[in-house]
Amino acid sequence: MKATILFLSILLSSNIATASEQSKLISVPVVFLEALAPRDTTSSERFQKEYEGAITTAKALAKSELTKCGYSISEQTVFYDASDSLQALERAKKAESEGAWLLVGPRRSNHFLLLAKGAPNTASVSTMASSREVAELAPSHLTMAPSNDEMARIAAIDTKDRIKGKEATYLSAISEDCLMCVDFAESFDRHAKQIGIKKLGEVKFVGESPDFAALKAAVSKHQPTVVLLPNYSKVSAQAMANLATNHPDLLYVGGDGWGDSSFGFVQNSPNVERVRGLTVRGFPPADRGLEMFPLGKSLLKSSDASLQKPGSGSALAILRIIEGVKDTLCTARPKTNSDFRSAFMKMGRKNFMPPWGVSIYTLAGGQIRYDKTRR
Amino acid sequence: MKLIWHFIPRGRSIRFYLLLSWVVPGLFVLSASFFVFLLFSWNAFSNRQANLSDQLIEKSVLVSRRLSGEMLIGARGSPKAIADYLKGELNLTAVSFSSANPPCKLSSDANGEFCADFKSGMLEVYRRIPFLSEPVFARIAAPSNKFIHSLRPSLLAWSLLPLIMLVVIGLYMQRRFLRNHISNPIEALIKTSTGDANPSPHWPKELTDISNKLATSFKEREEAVFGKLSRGVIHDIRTLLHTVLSAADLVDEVAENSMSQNQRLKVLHRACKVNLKKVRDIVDLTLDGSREIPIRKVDADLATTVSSAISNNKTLAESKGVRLSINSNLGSAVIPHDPLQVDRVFTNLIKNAIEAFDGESEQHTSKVVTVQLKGEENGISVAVEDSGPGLPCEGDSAFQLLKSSKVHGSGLGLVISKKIVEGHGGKITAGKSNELHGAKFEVTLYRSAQMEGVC
Repeated sequence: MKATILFLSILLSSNIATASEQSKLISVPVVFLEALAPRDTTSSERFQKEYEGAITTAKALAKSELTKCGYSISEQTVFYDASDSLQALERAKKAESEGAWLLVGPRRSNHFLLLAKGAPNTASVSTMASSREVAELAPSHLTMAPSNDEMARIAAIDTKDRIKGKEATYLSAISEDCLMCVDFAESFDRHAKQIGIKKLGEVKFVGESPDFAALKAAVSKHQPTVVLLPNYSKVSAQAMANLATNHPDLLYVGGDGWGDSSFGFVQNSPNVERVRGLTVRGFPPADRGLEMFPLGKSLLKSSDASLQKPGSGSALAILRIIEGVKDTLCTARPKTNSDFRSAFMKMGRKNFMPPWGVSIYTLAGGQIRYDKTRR
Repeated sequence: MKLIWHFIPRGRSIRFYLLLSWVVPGLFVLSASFFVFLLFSWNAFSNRQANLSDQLIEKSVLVSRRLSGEMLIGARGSPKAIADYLKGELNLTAVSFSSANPPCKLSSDANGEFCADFKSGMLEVYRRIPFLSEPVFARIAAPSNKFIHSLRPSLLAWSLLPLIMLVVIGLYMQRRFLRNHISNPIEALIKTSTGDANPSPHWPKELTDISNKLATSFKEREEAVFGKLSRGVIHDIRTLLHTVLSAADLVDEVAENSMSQNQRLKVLHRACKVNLKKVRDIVDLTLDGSREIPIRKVDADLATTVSSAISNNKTLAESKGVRLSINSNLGSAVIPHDPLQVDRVFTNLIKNAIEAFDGESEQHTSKVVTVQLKGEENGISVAVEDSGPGLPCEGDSAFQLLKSSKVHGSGLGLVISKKIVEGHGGKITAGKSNELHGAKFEVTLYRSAQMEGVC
């Protein structure tokens, strides 16, 4: 009888202690903002599903350590129309007014810049933004991607390596409404010039389905060995499809926008069997990327079937960001939004540093395959 | 209105005036329809303008937001590129931005300040670009709708549809009304006034009254005209008969004649006297409406009178191969009547019956005329029936003046017969013979005229 009473007393006290500990957890509001392209419904839905799965997985992996530190993450996910970039600013403004501690921002650089405008006093980190302006933002606004300039430098070096024995000349075809693309092209020009790759010309267009007549005419006129396509995957694929028939020997060089290997547009485009190229990305394949930071490694080791392995750079970045949040909270132990922001500005460069370098992918036989990583 | 009537030609056909009655108001209604068409078109134009305005205002929101996104991040020249891109993407004539105040009065909606301005065939919408510290306005423009493009044939058809329906229905009703209420009654009135038809029992009282008046008037005029014409002719015949009679008297007085010659002269003398009497009767009584035929009734045997009439026609019947017979179930047929006048009646009726076969073929096997005497409650009826083709019209129409079914008939016989019978207080009817399937005339004479209401 005494033993039973003693057992119940211990059980009760432990439960009370746990409940008390739960009630003491500081809720950290994190708002995830991401743009979806409404015209590409299928890929948008797939992306959204993976994005939300990555958040759930990351939270589950970080939960025990966060609890020990006295924190819990209460996330809010906001998706908006990619064609209306101003929503990034409005949603961020709203999130800041509602007291968010951290904004996990959209992939696109211009959207992230607007987010930073809308919430200048809230810490934010983009999953993939890589333009020069992003790198120049205040230390409270970071990105998980290497800078465009770094990726362009690596792309120029690898291009030079692949056209040994030929005169290295190139023509740029740039989506003028894509800030990251313009950025990448400028950086590529600078680095290419430094290593002796000659630029023959430049064609600019706007929109998702532009007229490529000017590009075809320019290629026929200049006969370059390389065409730089630092654009998003759909436009890049259309450009390649237009040029592949008459210019089968061209080497295409992409920026960080050709899409993931598993479901991008480039490998599904017409005539893609005949084209070859390379692209640089801020992310390695997910399996390799997971090996590069502790939360990723714990996911690789976990046997929990409910945990979802990331399939894209964005999802990989989500895991790394949650790890960075956990590290910042457990190290600085902030009590308020402003405490967190101060800690983020002090420790952000370390805790939110992308652990991966610039990855090089090769396009051949209709497939984009990871080749190597360069730092 | 008087001025309009001044220009309308007179004396044209009814069809012309009917057409005119449609053309003049039709032009007014056509003008009204065209006005309605213009109203419809204007309404459609206004709606299209409003839709265009709404669409442009909606697009101005997209443009201003997109430009705001680019301007806020201070990108390198991309707002201009975005403006050019949106121009094509949104199917606009112009997309631009400027810090200058727009030329129209600004109003506000959920997306900020804006205004719309129609200018030289273009619709422009200006909208303040949001989130910028300084006012910058996005301007988008698209071609304005043209009124002429709103003039659609379908609208015209809808506008004219009531007019077309009105004309079709109106013409149908007018034609039907004219036929039922004007043409047909006029034709019927003409027929009834000439005795070719009787007034319809379905006619309204007013129409029947008009019909009766017309019939009376027509009859009086007919009789008057006939009287004037025939008096001169009969006067000549009477003069001729008097001359023949005088000549016969002279021959009888001065010449030694044989027995046979004397006999012939007597026949001639008697015939002239009889015919003179008849002519006098016609002139003095029948054709002068103011007097009646003098009836000198005596108690006489009607069967004898009828037999006399049959004798008068015996030779004629034999010459035409007609079997003439008399039937009587009466013991005594004595009844007050004027034998001379009644003889005229039956002589005429029997003669008509015999001559009814004139148009028939020689192979007509049953040329029969029967005279049937029957006793009535207060009189005697005599029916004259034949197996001929029958009467073209029965009832009172058979007794019309100058109407005859015979080729050379004068149309006088039956009228005089009717007057004579009615002068006796009797009645005469015309109809179809049930037994012989030809014509049947039945004369009824009464012992007391009061029973038939004759004064």
